[in-house]
Amino acid sequence: MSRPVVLGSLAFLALGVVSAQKAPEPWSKEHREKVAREYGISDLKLPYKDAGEPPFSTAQPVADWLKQRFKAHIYPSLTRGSVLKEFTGEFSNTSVEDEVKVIVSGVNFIISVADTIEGGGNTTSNFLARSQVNYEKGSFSGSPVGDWTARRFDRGAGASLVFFRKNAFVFLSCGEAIEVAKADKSRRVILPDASLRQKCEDLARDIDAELVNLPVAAKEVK
Amino acid sequence: MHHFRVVFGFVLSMVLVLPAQLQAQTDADAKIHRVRQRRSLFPNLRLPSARAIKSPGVRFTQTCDPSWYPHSAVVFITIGIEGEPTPVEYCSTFTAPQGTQQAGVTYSLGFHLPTGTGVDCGNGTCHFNYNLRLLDANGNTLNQLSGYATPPVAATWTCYDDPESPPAKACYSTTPVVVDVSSLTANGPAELTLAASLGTEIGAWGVTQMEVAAAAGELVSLRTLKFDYEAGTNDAVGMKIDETTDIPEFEWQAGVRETPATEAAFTSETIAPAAYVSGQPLRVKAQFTGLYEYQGAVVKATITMADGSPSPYGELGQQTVSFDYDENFEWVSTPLVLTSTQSATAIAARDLKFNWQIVSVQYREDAYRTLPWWLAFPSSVGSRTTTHRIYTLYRAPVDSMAVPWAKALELSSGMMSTLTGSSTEESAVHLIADGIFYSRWTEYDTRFFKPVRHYGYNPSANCSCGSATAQLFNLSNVLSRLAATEWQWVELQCNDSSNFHAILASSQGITARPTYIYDTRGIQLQPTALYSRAGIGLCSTGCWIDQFNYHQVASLGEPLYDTSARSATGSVPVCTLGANLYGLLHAAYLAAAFPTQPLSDTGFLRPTVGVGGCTCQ
Repeated sequence: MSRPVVLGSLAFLALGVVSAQKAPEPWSKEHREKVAREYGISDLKLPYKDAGEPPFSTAQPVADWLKQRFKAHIYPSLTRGSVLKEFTGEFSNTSVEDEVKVIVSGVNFIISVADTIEGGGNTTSNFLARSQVNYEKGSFSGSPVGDWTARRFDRGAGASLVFFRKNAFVFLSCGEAIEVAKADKSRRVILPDASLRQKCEDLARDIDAELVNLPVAAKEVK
Repeated sequence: MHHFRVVFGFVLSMVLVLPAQLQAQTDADAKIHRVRQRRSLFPNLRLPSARAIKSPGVRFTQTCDPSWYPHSAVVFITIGIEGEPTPVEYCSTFTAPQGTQQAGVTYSLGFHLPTGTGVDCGNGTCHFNYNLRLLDANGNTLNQLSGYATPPVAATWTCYDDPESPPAKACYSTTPVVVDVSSLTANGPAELTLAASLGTEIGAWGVTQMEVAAAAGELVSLRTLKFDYEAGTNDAVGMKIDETTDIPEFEWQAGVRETPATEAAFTSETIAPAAYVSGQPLRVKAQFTGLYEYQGAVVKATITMADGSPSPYGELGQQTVSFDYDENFEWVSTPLVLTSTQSATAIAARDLKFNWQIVSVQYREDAYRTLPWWLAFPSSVGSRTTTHRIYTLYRAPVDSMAVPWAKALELSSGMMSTLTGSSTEESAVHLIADGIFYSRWTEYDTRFFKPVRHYGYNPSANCSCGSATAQLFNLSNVLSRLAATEWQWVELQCNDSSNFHAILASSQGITARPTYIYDTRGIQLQPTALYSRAGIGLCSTGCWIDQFNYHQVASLGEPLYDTSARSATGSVPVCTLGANLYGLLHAAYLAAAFPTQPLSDTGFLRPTVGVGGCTCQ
C-alpha cells in the first residue's frame, strides 16, 4: 500500500472517530443513554431498589384484563417459559354503527414487564430512541401517569402516551375516529374528537391501575 | 323349489342305474366332481367371504357392505352350488371423492357349461337372469347391465375349452362403460353402490354355473402428490405456510389432505401449495394405487385454471407407472415425476385444477387368469380432479424469505401480477411499494388467510426492532393484524412498512434492503415537506409536516420508494395529493421529502431485514 493511501486511510479513520464522538450510532446503547438523559429518565430517583421491592413478574393479568374489558386482540411478543413478558394488542371502540357505516376509533398498545427493577426506564428509553418522532414529557393533563409519562398528539391521527411504572412499560396510541362505509370499506376521518387526549389518558390510568396489582417476583432468600 | 326337485331327481336316477353303466357313471361323477372343484372364472378378485352375501330378496337400497377399496368396489356372484338359494344378491358401497369426473365400470359375465356329464344344463334348457347396477346414494340407477343368459346366448360370447377343469366349455363377456359422476361429486364426495344379482329358475344345478362380476370406481387411484420432492431447483421451491406451519410431507394425500385451499386457515386437511420460478415447468412426484390385478398404468393430467380455462402450464405429460408392494404391503406404484408440457412466465398465485386421467392399464401376468380383461378396460377413464395453489415466482426466493411463507407469497404475487419473469427488478420493487402503500391485498383473493384491513402510516405507532444496520420485522404479528376483524387501520411506522417491503421482495427473489435516513450530526432531520400519509392520508383532507428523528424507506440500491409518505401541495389543513415518492435517487428524494436537509449531513444506511419477533426491551 502506498504512503499517500495509508495516510488517506488514517485520515478517514480519524474522521470516523470524530464523527462517532459527535453523534452516536443510531439505535446504539450510547444513543439510548443519550435519549434517557434528554428525557430525564436517567435522573429519576425511584424508591423501588432502595426499598428492596421485587419487580413485576408477568404482564399476563393486564393482558387478560384488556381482553375481558375491551375484547382486545392480544399478540404475545416475548415470553419466558410460560410467563408473558411483552405483548402488543389493539381494540376498537364503535360509537356508531348502522346499515351503511360504522364509526370506530382504534387503540394500539405495547405492554411489557422487564426482568429487573430498572427495566421500566430502560425499555422506555429504548422505545423512545427507536421512535421516529419525539414525545413531550408529562401527560396531557399534567398529572403524571405511572412513574414517568410522555405524550404526543398527532393532529388528524391520534394521541399517544408512553409511561412506565417500576419495571412495566406501556405505549398507548389512541386513533382519531374514522367512518368506514360498509359497502366498499372506504373510510374518512370525521371531525376531530376534542376529548381524545383525555380519553386516552383515562385509559392509560386504568391500565396503570392494573399494573399496580401485577404479581411480583418472589424475593430471593439469602 | 324347482331346482331342488331337479337335483333330487338327478340323485335318484343315480341310485337306479344298471351295473353295466356304473363305471361310465363313476367317470361322469368324477367329472362332475372336478367341475364342482373348478376355479372361478375370476380367480383374482379379492372378495368378501360368502357369509357377506345377502339373502334372496334383499333390496340394494338397504345398507350394503363397505368396499375393501377406498374409492372403488368389486362385486362377484356365482351360483350353481347345490343348496344355494337364488337369486343371490350382493352389493358394496364406496366413496367417489369430490371432483371425481367419471367412474369406470367393467361388467363381466361368465358361463360354465360342462360337457360329457349327461347332465349339462338340463339338455340346454337352463337359464340365468342377471343384473349388475351402479347406484347413487338415493338408490337411483346410474348404469346397469341386465339380461337373460342361456347356453345359446353364452355361445355368442367369447368361448374356449376350460383348461383348468375339463371337459367343459367356458364363455365370457365383458362390457366396459364410463359413467359420468361429475354432478354427484361437484360439491363433495359421493357414495356409490355397485350391486349384483344372479338367479336361475331352471338349471342342471351344481354343474352348470354362471358367474357375474363387476368392478367400478376409481380403479387406479391417486395416492400422494409431492411437489417439493428434492433439494435443488428442479422441483418446487421449499416453502412454509407461515412462521409456525410447515408444508407436510405430501402436499396432497388421498383420504387425508384433499380440501382445496381457501381463505380459511390451513389445516391438516388442506391441500398444501407449491411454488415454481417463472419459466420453469411444474414437476410433481405422483404415486398411485391400483387394483391388485394391475401391473401398471399410463397416467397423465390436464391442467386448467379454476374456471376451466386453459392454464399456462399445459398438461402433465403421461407416464407409465408400475405397481408393486410397498413396505406396508400395499399395492402402489413407484412414485414418478410428471412434468408439465409448458411453463408460466407471468407472476401469479393461481388455483390450478389437475384433471388426472388413467390412459390405460396393464394387467398382471397371471397363470390362472382366463379372461383377457386388458381388452375390457376403457381408455381415458377420468380419475379425479385435484386443486392446487401454485405460485409462479419472479426469482428463487432469497434472504429472510429463502424459504418463503405462502402468506407472504399471497401478498407479493398479487402485487406483482402484471409482471413476468423478464420484467425489471425496479418494476417489481415499485409494485410492491405501491401494493403496501395502497393496501392492495384488500383487492384480490388470497388463500390461507384473509387480509381485510388497510395499513395506515403513523410515525408514533410502533416499536421497531434491532439496530439501524440489522432489523427484525414481526411478520407474523402484522399478518395476523391484517386479517383481524377490526375496522381501523393496522398502524405501522416507517421501519415496519419498509421492512415489510423488503420481506415481500425477498419472497420473490429480490434483495431490496430498506434505506435508513438520518442526520449524521446526531440531530433530528430537518422538517418534512407537506406530505400525505399512507392509508390515513387517503381518507383525510389534511396533510402533515413533521420533524423526524430518522426516516426509513424501501429501496433497491439507491432508488428509494417511500412506503409511508406521498407528496402533497397546499397547506396542512387543506391539501392536494401529489405523486408517490417512488424510484428517486438520494438527492431527489431529500429534495422532495426533506427539502432543507443537507445531503452532505445525511446518512443512508442499508439494514438487513430478518423475520422474527420484536420486543421493546
